Amino acid sequence: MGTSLLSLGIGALGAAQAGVMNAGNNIANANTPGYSRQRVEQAPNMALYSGVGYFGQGVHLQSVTRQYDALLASEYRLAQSQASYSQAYSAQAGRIDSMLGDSAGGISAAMDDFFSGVANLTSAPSDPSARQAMLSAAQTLTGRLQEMSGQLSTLRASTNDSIRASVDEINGIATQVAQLNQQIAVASQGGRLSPNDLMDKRDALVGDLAKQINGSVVKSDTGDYNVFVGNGQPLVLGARAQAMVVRPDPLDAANVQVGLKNGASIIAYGRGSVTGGILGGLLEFRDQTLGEAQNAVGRVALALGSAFNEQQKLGLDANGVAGTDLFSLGTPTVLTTSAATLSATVTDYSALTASDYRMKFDGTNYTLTRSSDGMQTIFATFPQTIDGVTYDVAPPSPAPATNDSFLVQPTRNGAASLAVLFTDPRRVATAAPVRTAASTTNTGSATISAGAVTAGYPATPLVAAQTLTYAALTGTLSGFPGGSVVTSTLNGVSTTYAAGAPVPYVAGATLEWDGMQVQLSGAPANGDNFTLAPNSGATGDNRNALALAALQTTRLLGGATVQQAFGQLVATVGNKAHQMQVASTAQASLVKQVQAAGDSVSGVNLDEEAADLLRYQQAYQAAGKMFGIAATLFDTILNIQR
Amino acid sequence: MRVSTSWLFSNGAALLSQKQADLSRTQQQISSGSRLLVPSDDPVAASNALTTQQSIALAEQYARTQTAAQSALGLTESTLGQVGDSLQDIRTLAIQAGNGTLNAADRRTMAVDLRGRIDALMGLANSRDGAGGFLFSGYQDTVQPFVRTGAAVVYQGDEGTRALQVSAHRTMETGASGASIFAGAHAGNGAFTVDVPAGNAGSGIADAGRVINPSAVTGHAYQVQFHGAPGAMTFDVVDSTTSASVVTGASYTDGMSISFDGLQFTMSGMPANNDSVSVAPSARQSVFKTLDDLAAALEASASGTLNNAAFQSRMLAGIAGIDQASDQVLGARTAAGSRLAELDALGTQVAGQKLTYQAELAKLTGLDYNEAISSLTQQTTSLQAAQQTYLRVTGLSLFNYL
Repeated sequence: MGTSLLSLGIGALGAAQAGVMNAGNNIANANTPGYSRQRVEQAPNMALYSGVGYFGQGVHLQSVTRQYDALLASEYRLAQSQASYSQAYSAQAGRIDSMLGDSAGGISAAMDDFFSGVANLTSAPSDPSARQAMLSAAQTLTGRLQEMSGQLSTLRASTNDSIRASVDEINGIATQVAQLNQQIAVASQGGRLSPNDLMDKRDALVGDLAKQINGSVVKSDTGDYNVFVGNGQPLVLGARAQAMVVRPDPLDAANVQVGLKNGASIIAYGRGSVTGGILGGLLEFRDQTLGEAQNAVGRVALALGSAFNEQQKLGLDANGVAGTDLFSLGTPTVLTTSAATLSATVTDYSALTASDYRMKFDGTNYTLTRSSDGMQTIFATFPQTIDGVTYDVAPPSPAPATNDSFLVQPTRNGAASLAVLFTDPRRVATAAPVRTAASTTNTGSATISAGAVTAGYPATPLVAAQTLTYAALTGTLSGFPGGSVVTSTLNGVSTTYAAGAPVPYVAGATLEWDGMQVQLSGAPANGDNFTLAPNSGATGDNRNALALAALQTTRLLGGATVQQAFGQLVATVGNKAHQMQVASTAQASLVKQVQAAGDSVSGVNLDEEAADLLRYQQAYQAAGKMFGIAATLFDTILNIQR
Repeated sequence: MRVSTSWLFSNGAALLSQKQADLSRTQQQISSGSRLLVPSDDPVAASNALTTQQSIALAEQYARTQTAAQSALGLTESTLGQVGDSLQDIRTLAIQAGNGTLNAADRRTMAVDLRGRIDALMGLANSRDGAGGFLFSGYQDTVQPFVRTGAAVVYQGDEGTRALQVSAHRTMETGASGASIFAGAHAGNGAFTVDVPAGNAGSGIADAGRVINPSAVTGHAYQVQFHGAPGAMTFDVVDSTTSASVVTGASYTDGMSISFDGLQFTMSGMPANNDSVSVAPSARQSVFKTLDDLAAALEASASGTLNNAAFQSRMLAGIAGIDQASDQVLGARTAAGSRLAELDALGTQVAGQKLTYQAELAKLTGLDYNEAISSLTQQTTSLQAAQQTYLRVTGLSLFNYL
């Protein structure tokens, strides 16, 4: 009897000791990330049959299990990958957001200052300091645009770096998961044992992987974790990990491309293939918001610069010379691996979009796809004009080969290239190139308007004065250059007169020829003369300056002024950043919920462990007492013989 | 539900940092005075704020342009006021000079006086603006507009007029060219000139004439020819443009009005046989030419080279010319004055717009301080409470009692 009590006591003592040790281990790992609470499983020994029944034979230890819920863990991974996605996106978008939001030092303020400088010039066209102030404001504006463009390029480069870092992290995790798969297979001895700490480590790793990329974790029959990413490509298969690779985009060296190694070849991931996680967020941010912001800033710069240049050319500067371009304009970038040379030229700045374009040749047709909305234009011949850009293959040979593809970025470098071309303030064209006069010998009461020029003027500039003479007998005007077609417009109705044909005098009609416009009104007398002369020495003329100032409120970009277009960009980026912030907050709270649920299963509660410690301590003490009682019992038997 | 101890700590810490972030945001809002720290706080408001800021900048720009326009117009207006006064003085002088009781010496003095006044008038016409540019030379503000070349005063400028954008929809001319002010008036009575040649032998004096029937005016030149002796004086009128006879053999009496083709002039005194008067449609003539002619007539009369009839006729024509020029100056001055009045109205309008935009901007981005301070207090209290509960909760442990 005593011996059986002893063996019972030994079992109980061992179980209590294991319980105390386990509680101690739990307490020690209370703050270890990824640690799952462990529990010692104990079971009663096989009972011994006696005549009266079965006598319990004490306790034995069965296993040490971890408290882990696989379903909650997979929920956690999904929530975590979505949270990391929106967090990464939101953090990057927030950087552009604060760049654009700088109201005092931002582009918007510089634009207002610039136009303010132009408007001040209209009050004092001959004032050198007003001219200088306007040029300085132009330099400030281009400086700001270049700076913003530079910051965005830096952001692109740092995003690419982050992509690289994320892929490195993914590869590191994949390798470790594969190694752990192997170690766990060995340690579990054919599934008989549960190597809890190794499994915790592996679960923590796939949890970390979910932060980087959204993948699916499938547990195989043998207990391995197989991880699939992208469109179902295996990243980890048993003990083998595939490497993800980052390489420069073959079309666009400014970008990196993510792919998965498949033997010797690389499967490149297209846009949208990598979802979730930091990597997904970074890629999506780079290809969506960042690209759009860079293009939109470039588009604003191009539209403003080209409109200003065109108006400059319609005026005369302080030296009486025709104005020249004030701004240098960037040209579309064409990136290709094709042997053919695709040229892309902007022919209509107001029709430009903030999108990139991809063109692919299938052997017969060219398909041009607008990246922003996927709109396709299919054509077979060049030249083609789409969204303000004219495409041509020049020289025609070599021709594009089948499957050649081209990446066209019409506005990407618009802001970076915008620079002020001259520093001489006298070269700002404030005056109009023509002036008019009614002859002092006129006896009629007709007057002539100040005269204006249109886009066609620079091609046929006025070199010598022209005199229009009214003939009362025929009611016509003569004196137009022999080779010029004259258009007369009254109340929106235009009549065109062939070169050399008599032009009837209509009071109030606007006459246009050679890009010049004048309006004659009133009643002329026979022989009255009206002259148009080159506007030499007109330092006080501000007509072209007025036209330059009016560009501020002109809708230069498909229905929007430059300021409005910039506002649209701010709203677009702000909206995206806001949307991602909201998503990030919502996902973070979901992660927290799932984490709390997981922790309630796997986490260590010190109070509970303290209670366990007490419980097992008391059990240990009770088991110890068993030995004392067994000894007393044994002594009693010995004493009988005495 | 089991709560793990590490969760208790990490969750508590996360809540604390969240509250601190909220507090810091409110503090930033209060110190910057703006509700929007970055556009994503309210993208639509941020975008509208940019547009509104541009509208404010434009309103400020229009206010600046209006000031420039005001100073230019003010200068033009006051200069033209002096020009008008000067012309009135000259007119008075011309009327005095026509007085038949004056002797040659008086007329010579008056001629000298007149020449002086012409020079003064030229000085006004060559006025400069605050920046040193000529006020009345059109676009060529560095070119002196009126220069005496030989005997004549020549206009060197052009007919350009500078305009300024003074509000979103108003481009206002801020001056007038010298050509229109000083050389825009037609000679004579504004429609035609009546000239009594110096070679006339009689004492017939013609006034400047007038148009009595505008619809009958042909725009042709005429020659009025007198025939016969006093008492039986007749005149013919011939259209010199077409050589057609308009009036033939009409009898002449002293002080009669001679009318033909809608034109009329009054002839007094008695012309001699074969004396003539020429009538011609008038072209635009510079006020300086009018005044120079007047001074030349005065000088010629003083030196006896011009007979009284021609002198008196020229004085009358000159006075009519001055009236035409005065009207022209007055017209330009009135235009400047009414634009100044319009500028006052536009100034109020633009200032009002600016206020509206500023109010809009304040609504879009401005911070409601009452609300912000109250939420700051609330957040501070909440953070304090969270800190205290964190300490309480994390301080609880069974181990304290073991």
